[in-house]
Amino acid sequence: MLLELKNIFKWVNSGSQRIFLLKDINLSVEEGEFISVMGPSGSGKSTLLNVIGMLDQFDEGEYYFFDESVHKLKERHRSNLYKEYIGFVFQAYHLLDDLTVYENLEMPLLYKKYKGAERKAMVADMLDRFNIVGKKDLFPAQLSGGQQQLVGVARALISKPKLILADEPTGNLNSKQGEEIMDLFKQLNEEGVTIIQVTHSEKNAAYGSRIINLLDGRMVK
Amino acid sequence: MFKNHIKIAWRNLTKNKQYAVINLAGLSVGMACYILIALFIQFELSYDRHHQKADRIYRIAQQQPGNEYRGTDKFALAPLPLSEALVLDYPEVEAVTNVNQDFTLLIKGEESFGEQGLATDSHFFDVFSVPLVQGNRNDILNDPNTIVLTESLSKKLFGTDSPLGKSILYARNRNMTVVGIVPDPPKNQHLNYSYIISYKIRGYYPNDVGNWVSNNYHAYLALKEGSDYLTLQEKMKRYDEIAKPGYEQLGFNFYPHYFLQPLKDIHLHSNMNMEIGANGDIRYVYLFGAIALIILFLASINYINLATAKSAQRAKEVGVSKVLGAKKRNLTVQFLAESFLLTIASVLIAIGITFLVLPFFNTLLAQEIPFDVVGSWWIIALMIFVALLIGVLSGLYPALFLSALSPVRALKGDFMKSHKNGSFLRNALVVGQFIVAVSLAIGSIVIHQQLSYIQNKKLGYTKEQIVHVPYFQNEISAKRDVIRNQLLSHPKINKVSISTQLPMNITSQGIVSEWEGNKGDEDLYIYRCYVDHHFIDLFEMEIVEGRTFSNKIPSDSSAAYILNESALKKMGWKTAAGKKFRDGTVIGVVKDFHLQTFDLTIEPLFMTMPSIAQLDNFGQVILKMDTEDFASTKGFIEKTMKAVVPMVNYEARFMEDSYAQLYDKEARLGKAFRVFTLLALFIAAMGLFGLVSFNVVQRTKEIGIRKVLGSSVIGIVNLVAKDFLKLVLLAIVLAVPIAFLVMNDWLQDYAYRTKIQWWVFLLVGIATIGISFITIYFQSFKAASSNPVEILRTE
Repeated sequence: MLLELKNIFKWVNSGSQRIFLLKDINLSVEEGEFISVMGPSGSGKSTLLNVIGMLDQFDEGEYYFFDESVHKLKERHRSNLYKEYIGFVFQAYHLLDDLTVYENLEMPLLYKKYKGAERKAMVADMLDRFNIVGKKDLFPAQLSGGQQQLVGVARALISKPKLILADEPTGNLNSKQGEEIMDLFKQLNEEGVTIIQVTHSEKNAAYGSRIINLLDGRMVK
Repeated sequence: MFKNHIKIAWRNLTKNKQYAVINLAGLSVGMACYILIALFIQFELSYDRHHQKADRIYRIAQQQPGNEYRGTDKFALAPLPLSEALVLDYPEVEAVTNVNQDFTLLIKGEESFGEQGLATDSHFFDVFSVPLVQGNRNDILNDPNTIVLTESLSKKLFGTDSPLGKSILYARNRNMTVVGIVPDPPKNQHLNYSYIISYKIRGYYPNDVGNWVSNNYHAYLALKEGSDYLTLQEKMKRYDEIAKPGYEQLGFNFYPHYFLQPLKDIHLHSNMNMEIGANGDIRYVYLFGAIALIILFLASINYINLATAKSAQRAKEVGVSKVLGAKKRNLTVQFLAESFLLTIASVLIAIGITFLVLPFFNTLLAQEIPFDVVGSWWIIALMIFVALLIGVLSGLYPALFLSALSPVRALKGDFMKSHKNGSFLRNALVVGQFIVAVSLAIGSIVIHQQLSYIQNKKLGYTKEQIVHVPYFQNEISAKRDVIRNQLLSHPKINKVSISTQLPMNITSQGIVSEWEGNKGDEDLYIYRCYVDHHFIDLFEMEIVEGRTFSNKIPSDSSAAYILNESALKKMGWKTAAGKKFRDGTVIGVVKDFHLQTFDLTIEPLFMTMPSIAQLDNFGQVILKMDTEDFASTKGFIEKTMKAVVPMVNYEARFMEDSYAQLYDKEARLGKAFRVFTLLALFIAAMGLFGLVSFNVVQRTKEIGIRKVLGSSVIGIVNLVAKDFLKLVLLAIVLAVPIAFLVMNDWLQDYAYRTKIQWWVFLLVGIATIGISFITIYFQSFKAASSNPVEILRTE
């Protein structure tokens, strides 16, 4: 078991009202799964993804990640945990504009204190694998959207995470570019990486092995 | 619509309280600082300008090439016959007056007052615009036994009664009739007085009449309108020749060149010997002016920086307004209105601060600068102009840049990345203000060090546990043995000396040409000090050759001399004891001690005991004593002296206080520097704060991404801080040589000075980095601890 959510609740208080963003979420994810989270706008998809990614807190419930009780962990440990095991892919890519492709890829490694030579090897490996060696010195603004997202995925993968969380990874791409990214995910999944993606598109959802539907913060079967 | 603008502006302010407070405070403090310094400068520049004829009044002064005294050969003095000749010889001269400072005791009934006045002639009122509050112009100063009082002295002596025709005792021996009342002299006038008398009653007046060599007067002349003083100055050369024979007759090898000095230059541009009182210094006016402008400029730039940084966060508001139909013009007006509201508020706060701080500022500078809003209208006007300018500049960025954005871009908020340019300018400004702050900090430490060097350097005499009482009565000189014995009867008083001067500031200088081995009939400029048997012993001066004065050897009490080492060096003597000097013999040599302030080198000096005929009617009673429970001993000393001269109030002072008084100007400069250092550091820190805020806003997205990719809060903080600390370091590196050169130059004014230590730079550097560190971390920590989810949300 990679992770397990038990009775997760998340809410915000607005005036005297309590608005639930997540309501009684129970979910277990095995290693090697490819899960698509679907649902209308405001149903809590991104919130769920952020909770799983430990970027956001929840108010009630239990969260186990590789048998670690995330809900009991201190901020520092939590951050070490997700640094180690989780990679993120965003709809808006979120590459750093001032850094080249090479430097963007290298950045997560810096935070994990890899040595220079190691970093070089890992980045070269990634550039090679995604066929973007020729673009390593370009800045994000010089790339197409599809290429930027490719770099985004490469950056998520570079520290060899167990789990990739992707929030509408194809949302800003045209259909051809989108397809390429989804194929890439499929391929990664087959190599053993667990993937959880949020998507609006039935077609993209179909790449996954399991679909979770959310409505008003609740899982619907 | 306008009301709406104000409403939004107000809400924006109250929503960002911390920002509003910091930004308003920074600008207001900068402006207040500018107003204060502008008031100071206005005051300094206003000296003596209130006289109606200020533009055509000149002081007659002279240069005596070859007669250098205390660093200059110019003297602010003129002989009496010169001014008399000028009126007779040149029709363009409207009036001339001679002025002398006068210190005396005024006695009415049982009360006595030590006062400072002017001894002058009735032309004083023709030259200067001094109106008579009471009295008749024709009576004034014609009779030497009359006196004119200022309003406040009249009040002190006579209360509310009219003093005209009443008499007071002058200098304990002369009855004077009050014939007029004049207003108190304004503080911005170099002539200060509480009474005016005729110089004809002074003892040396008869000797001055027709005597070209007797330079006892400050002479002022008023030219007729339309005359050129330089032309007159040229014509005055003939008087040099008239004065020359008198000088030759006395054996001087110099003679005077007379010249005219505009009245308006006296306060700031004059540094001659025998000035009346202490003048200002134009260099300080420039220095302070530069500081004021720099501080105002920096504060303004900071304000603009911070305000534009903050306004960028309001892009969303702009987007919404535009979608709802706001035109570019509406938005421009709104941003400008908001901006003006803030800057005008700053002006008001600054004026408030000025009123609060002015008393402290006056104490600091020992001035009485008034803050008269009407009289200083140009300061306020300039202030408002600057405020509007800052308002336009800080409002213009959001007004033009944000309101020109397409609403879609504004709403998306991703325009920030396009605004990279201008960061060089911003960085340069922050570096600039840190250079100013660091230089000032180094400057103030160096001044402090020089002061403590002055305070602690071995002077060649002791000044600890010593108390002195100045006196101006010949009774004291005459009864000095009696007084000494009475004082010594007190258990706490160990030694007593009654001498003419204190060793710390010997001013009396003369020329000696009779000494053994003076082949070329050379003139020796030598300072002199009349002492008694106990002087050298009391001050623990070191005798390096021969012996000190002894009361067992009767010949010591006249024509026996003790010289200092510098005198020997000047005369080329190896040894001195037994050699002929002046009218007598040298009995000993004292080790060089600092007989003047540290800006002057140690000059030749002789000490001798005065014969009865040489006894001066002024001097110092000097006591070496146990200063514990000083108040009661002080009472005893003053009472003992009052018993000799009952009418006079004597005041016993610590020699160390009087010594510190000599360096009052430096002490004040040091204090002013400290205040400006703190201000500059505060403003520089504000500037840094603004820059960091701006930067953090620009890098919000980057910070979010880095956090998601695993950066810790500290990691982010370091990332942001690193660049800024580099700027601060750069500023320190640039400031150090500047400060070193300037302060080294300042120190050159002192013949004896401290060395600038390397640790000063280190200390200032570390302190500056510390302050920057706190500023940067405060702001970047806030950004780094925000939740990246909030930042990166794209929905």
